[in-house]
Parts: sequence; structure tokens; C-alpha cells
Amino acid sequence: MAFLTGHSGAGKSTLLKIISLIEKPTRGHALLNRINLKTIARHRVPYVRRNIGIIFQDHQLLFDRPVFDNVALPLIIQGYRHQEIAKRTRAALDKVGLLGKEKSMPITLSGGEQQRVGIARAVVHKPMLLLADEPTGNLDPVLSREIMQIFIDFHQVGVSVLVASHDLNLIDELAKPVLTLNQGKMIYNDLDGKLPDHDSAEFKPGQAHEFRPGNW
Amino acid sequence: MRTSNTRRDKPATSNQLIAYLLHHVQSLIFSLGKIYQAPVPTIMTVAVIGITLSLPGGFYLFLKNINAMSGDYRSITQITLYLDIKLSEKKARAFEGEISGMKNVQSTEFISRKISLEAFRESSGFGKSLDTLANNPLPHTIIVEPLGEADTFAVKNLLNTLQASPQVKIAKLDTEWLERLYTILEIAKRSVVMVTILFSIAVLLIIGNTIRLDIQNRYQEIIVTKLIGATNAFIRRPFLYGGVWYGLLGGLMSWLIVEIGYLAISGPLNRLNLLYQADLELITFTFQDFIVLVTSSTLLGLAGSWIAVAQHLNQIEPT
Repeated sequence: MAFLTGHSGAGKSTLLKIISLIEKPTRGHALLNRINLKTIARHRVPYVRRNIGIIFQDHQLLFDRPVFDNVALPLIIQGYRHQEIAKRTRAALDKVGLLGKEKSMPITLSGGEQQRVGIARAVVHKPMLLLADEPTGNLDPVLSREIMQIFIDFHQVGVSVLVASHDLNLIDELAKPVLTLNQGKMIYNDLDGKLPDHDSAEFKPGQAHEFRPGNW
Repeated sequence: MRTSNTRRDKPATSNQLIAYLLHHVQSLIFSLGKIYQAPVPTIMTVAVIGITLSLPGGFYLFLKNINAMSGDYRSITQITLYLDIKLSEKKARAFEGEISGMKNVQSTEFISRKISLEAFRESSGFGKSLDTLANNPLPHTIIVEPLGEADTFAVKNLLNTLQASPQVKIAKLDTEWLERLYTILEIAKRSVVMVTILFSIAVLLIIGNTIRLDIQNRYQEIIVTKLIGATNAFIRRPFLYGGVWYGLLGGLMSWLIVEIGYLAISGPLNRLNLLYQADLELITFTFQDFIVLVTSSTLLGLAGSWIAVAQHLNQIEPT
């Protein structure tokens, strides 16, 4: 598990977009589980994305269907069997503490609950890597801590988690590795989970950043 | 690239096939559910398709009826023989007897020159001015009715035989008006084909546009599903089935419209039958016509949505 920080425009979102194959790197290479994301064919993109779970700041739930159908969507896309879908979806909802809300419509849920539905949807197909872009951006500190705790739980069962966040206090508290970006370059890489001082030396990035799940 | 195939609990291939088919059924029902959730716009789209298709459908039915009616007239072709004016009535009557024994002849009718003149005097209105003529200018006439089952070729043969006999001055087959009718029918048939093509294109555009709006309305949903790892085929499916439903329902609607029109016309037509003691009977769509109408409408729906999906879906990429 690692955090990605930096000012607005530092390249956090771009990095997440490159990993989730929304954008391609203009220079250099990005490797995901030894797959070069730059050279991947267009029709292979969906299959690579299935190894990733993405959590959005604004949840991006589908409001025309109940919570259960929202969470089950990745499994339906991947062609799982009906019984398997029901089993896994309930398990994912249970993990985020929303098992009782499976029949509710997302619009009736609070912001924190909606975010937890988003997390359940991102983990239901057991991805190798979990990406979260400002997952606590709209939540109060208590809810934010709850959400982060869910990420830590997933990390403990073997899922790699990369969280882009502004919430420096929370990051400091959790003591996880931190990657700090500035102007598209990694200026600090602290695997001890300490944030950089303002006058710290610039971190020199290598030619290729490899995001290999399991290493963090 | 072995990203997804080597994953642990991936479903087995046979299960995947079942899941694939299941998803088709799900998409079919899901798109029907979408229609059910928004009935008013759907009814409007279906009505537009139904009305559009009812025009070629109704035109086709009209033509079919005209065709059936003109088929009845085909059997009342008759040959009129104007005999040599110098032929005596006795010889003419003998010739009539000769003809009635010929092959392919149903019946003959003899009209003497005297009767012809009387009939002409009454119907023409020349009256007394005809008396100033020294001689009756009209010849004896024989009307020959060919057998009902004789085909055009046999009738033409009969005509030629009669024309060749010395007693006959002119032999005339009364089919000119029929040929005119057939020419008009041919024009009408081609018009039906053109109308059908034009209106089919209209339906294609209507459905294409509806699906395009549908895609735009669900823009966000498409992006989210793409990010979750949906293939284009997966995203395309509910839209294609949406088009299929529009086409199917529109086809049924057009059938309904034409049937209602048929019922509306059949009342006055029955009265007309009574008045003229005619035997006109309207024919409606056969089961086969119905199947053709609904199937082609459904295929138009599929094609229309395919065009929309091909144009717009691939352009939507998450940013």
C-alpha cells in the first residue's frame, strides 16, 4: 500500500490515468505486472483493466439500479455465473459493512455509504491492484479514517493499494510509503511512510516506474 | 498477454459460454426494462416507426386487393367477330354453330345486323337520321367467349384461327383495357417498392437517432463500465437490443394501423357490394405478410441501432 501526493497539477491524476489505461505515456514506459501499458492493443485494454479496481472521488455509481447491481457489474462484465456473482457481491458488500443495503438505490445512501459501495464494486472481482483517486475528498475526517481503514484491511489480505490523496494529516498518521510528485516528477519516495520536509533533496526518478503489485 | 486467462477463480470455458448466452438474455430483458421505465418516449418512437411503416404496408395491401380484383376480370375476356357484310344471316348463323364446336370455346352469342342497328339507334341518339341510309352499314356480329381455363396463349390461338376464316372481316380481342390496367398496376407496384425503400431508410434513421440519444443519455454509465473493464461488445449489446425492440414494436404497431384501416374500409365496401351486387372482397395481411412485416421491421431496428452504435460508442472513451 502506498500514497501518492503532490500539489494540484503535479501529475497524480495523470499517473493514475496511465495505470488505468485512460492515457498513454508520451515518454518512457509504464509496466503493470510486466505488461507494457504503452504498447497494449486497443481491444486488449478492457482485459487489462479487469486486473485493476478503480475508486473515484465522486463514486461514479449508476443511479438507475440498486446497490447490489452496481457492485455486481464487474462480475457480470467478466461473465461469472449467477450463483458466483451473488456470493461474491454479498461478500464484497459485507467487507464494507453494507450487506443490509443491497436492495437500496444509491441515491438514498449517504456520501460515505456511496463511497463504500464504490469500494465494494472496485474489489468484488478481486483485482491485483486497487487505485483510488482522492477517495476521501468529499468526506469528513471520521468517515475518511473509516475508508482508509478499509483500504488497509484489503492491503493486509494481499491487494496492492495506491491512493492519491491531499489529506496529509491522515497520510502521516497511517505511516505507509509515500510517493510525492511535482511537475510530473517524483520528488520524494519515502518507503517508511514519512512525508518530506520542504527543503528535502529532489528524488531522481529512474527511466521506468514499475508498479508491480505485491511489492508495496 | 496472459492477464486474465491465468487468473485464479476465473470461470471455466463452458460456464463462460452459458454466462455469455445468459448475458444476451439479460441485455434483452434489461433493454426492455429501460423501455418500460420510460414509456412515453418509447411509445412516441414506436408510433413514429409504426406510422412510417404503415404507409408502404397499406399501399402493398391496396395493390394486393387491386391485383386480386383484376384477376377476376381476366376470365371475362371475349372475342368479338365482325363478319363479312355480304354474308347472309343464314350463313352467319351456320358459322356461329361451327364456332361453338371449336376447342376452347365456352359459348357464342349471335347479334344480327338488324339488332345491332336497333341497339345503335337507341344508344347513339342519331334516331331518324339513320333512316336516311340506304343500307344497314353494320355487319352481323358474333361474340365468342373462350373457356375460363384457357390461358392467354390459347385465346390468342383461337383469335388467329377465327381471324383466318373467310367469313370474318375483323376479329377483336377485348383485352386492351385489361392491358392498360396491368400497366397501371405495374407502375403502382414499382411505386410501392420505392415507397418501401424510402420509408425503410426513414425508419433506419429514426431508430439510429433514438439510439444515439440513448447513448448520449447514458454517457457516464458507458464510461464507468469501460473503466471497470467492459469490452465494446458488452456495452454495445443493450443498445442493439434496444433497437431490436423499437423495430419489433414499431412493426407490430404498423400492422395494427393497417388492420384498423382495413376494418374502416370494409364497412363501406360491403355496402358497395350490396348496391352493385358485385362480389368484391377485401383481402388483408396473410400470416406470411405479417411475419415479413415484423421481421423486416425488427431487422431495420437492429441495423439502425448498429449504425448509431458504430458511429458513437467507439468515440466515448474515459478521460
